[in-house]
Amino acid sequence: MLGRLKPAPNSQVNEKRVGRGPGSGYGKTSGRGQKGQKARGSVPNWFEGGQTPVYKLYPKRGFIRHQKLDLHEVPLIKIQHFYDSGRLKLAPGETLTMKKMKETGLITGSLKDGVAILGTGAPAYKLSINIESTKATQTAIETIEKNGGKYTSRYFSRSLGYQAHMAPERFMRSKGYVPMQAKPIARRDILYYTSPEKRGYLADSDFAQVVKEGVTRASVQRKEVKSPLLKHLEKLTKSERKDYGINAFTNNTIVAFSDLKF
Amino acid sequence: MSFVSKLGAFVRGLATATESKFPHKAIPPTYTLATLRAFPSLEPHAVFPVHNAFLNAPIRRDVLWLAVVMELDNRRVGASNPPGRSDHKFSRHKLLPQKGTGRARVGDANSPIRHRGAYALARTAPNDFSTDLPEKVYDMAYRIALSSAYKAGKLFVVGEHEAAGSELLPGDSFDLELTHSHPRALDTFVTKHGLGKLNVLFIPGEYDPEANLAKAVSKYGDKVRMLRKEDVEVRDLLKADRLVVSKDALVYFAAKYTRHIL
Repeated sequence: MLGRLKPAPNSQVNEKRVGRGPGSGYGKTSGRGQKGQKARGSVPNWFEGGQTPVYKLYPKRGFIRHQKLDLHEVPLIKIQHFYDSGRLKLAPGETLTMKKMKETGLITGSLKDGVAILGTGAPAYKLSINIESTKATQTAIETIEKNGGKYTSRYFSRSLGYQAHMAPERFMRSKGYVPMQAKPIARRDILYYTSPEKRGYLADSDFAQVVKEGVTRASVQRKEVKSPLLKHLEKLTKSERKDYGINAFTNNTIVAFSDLKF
Repeated sequence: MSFVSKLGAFVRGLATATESKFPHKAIPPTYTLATLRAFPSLEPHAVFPVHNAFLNAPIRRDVLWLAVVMELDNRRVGASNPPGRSDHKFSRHKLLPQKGTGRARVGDANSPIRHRGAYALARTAPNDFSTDLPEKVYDMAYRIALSSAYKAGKLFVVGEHEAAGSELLPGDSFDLELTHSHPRALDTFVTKHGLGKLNVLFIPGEYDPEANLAKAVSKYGDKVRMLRKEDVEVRDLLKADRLVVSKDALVYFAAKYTRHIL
C-alpha cells in the first residue's frame, strides 16, 4: 500500500521555474512576452497608465461602522438538520449555547464575535430546546418559542468575554481563573440586552430598571464645600448668646475671702 | 464515552417523520465486526461491533498520500548549510575591469552564476521543511490506514470481552504481553505465525519499557517494532504487514480519530 500511494489527479502543480532554459517553456523571456513595461518590471496595482484611476474618479460614499459585530449566522434549519443527523446531542434541559454550537460543529472556523440565529427554514423547525446566543431575528425567536423552547440573547464583550465563554479551559490553563463577564457599556448594547422584545438577558434585571427609570442619587448627595470665613460666620450666628461682661456687673455681690476656693 | 457507544452498533433511526419513498428498503449496517484475540496465540475469543467510519472506511489512496507526505516532510531535519555569496570562500575582488575588455560585466567569483560559485538560495540550518494538513484530513487518513489493515486481514486486536467468558490456551493472556521473559518467546511467536519476513507492529495500551514483550522487541531487530499509541503515524500503520493492537489502543484511536465525525 505504501508504495502505491499517489495524489489525486491534477491536485499537485509543479513550481513554475522561469529563466531555466528553452526546454522549460519559460526560458528566453521567462513568460513575460516581448518588450514593454510589463516585460521589464512591474506595473503597480490599479495603475491605469496615468489616467485618473477609478478609485480617485468618484467621491467617497458611506462609512464603515467599526463596532459592528462580525457574527456567525446559524439558520434554524441547520440546527434541525444537526439534530436529525444525530450530531447535536443535548442533555435534557441543556441550553444550546454558542460554546455548544462550536463543540458540535454548528459553527466552524476561526472565532468571530458571536452567533446570530436566523429564521431560515422556520416551518421545518420542530425542536423544543433553549437557545442562547448574541442575537436572533424576530422570526427565529418566535419560532423557537412557538415550539416550546426559550431564547435568550446574551452580551459578551468583544474579545475577552466571548473567548472566556467559548474556551474557558484556555484561561484556566494559562491564568488559573476564568475572567468575569462584563456588562454592556455601549448605549446600543444596553438598550438591546435590556429589551424584552430582543429577549435580552438583562430584561428583568434591576439594571434594566435603572436604565429605564433612572436612579435617585440620595446616597451620593454632593457635599457642600464652605470657606473658612463662611464657616466662622455660621458658627457665630448659631452660637448662644453669652453675656459674660454684663452679668458680672448686674449680679455682683460681695464675696468673702473664705468662700473663694483656689 | 464507553467503547461500544463510541464505536458501537447504532443503526441511527431516521429522526424526520417524513415517510420514505421506499419503506421496505434494506438499511445497510453502520458497523462492522472485529475480532478480539488472545496473545500470543491470536486465538479469537469474541467479536465486537466497530463503526464503519472507523474500520470500514473506503480506501482513498490520495488522502493517505497527503498524510504520508506530510509526515515525511515533518521528519526532515533540514541540516544543510550551503553558503551564500557573502559566506563563500572567494575574495570580493572584481574579476575584470568594468569597461574596456569587450566582455560582459562581472563582479566577484562568489556569484551564483559562476562555476564554483556560491548557492543562489543559501540557507542556514536548521531549515524548517514541515508542512501541515487539516486535522480532519489527517484523521481521515488515519481511519483509512486502519481500515485498509482491517480489510486486508492484517489487524489483530488483543483484548478481553466482558460478556464472553472464555478459556485461554496455555501461555495465553488477554494482554499484549508475553508470559515469558525469555527472548525466544517472541521468536516463537514470529515463526509460529509465519511472520519471518514481514513487518510486525505492536501497539500496547500502555507502553512499559520493562515489559517482557517490549524488551524482546527491542532486541529483535527492525522487522518487529513496538510503538507508544501516541507515537503511531499513518506511515507506521501502512508499513506494517501485521498490526497487533491492544483493545485499549484501538479505543484510544477511535476516540481520537473519529471526534470530528461521530
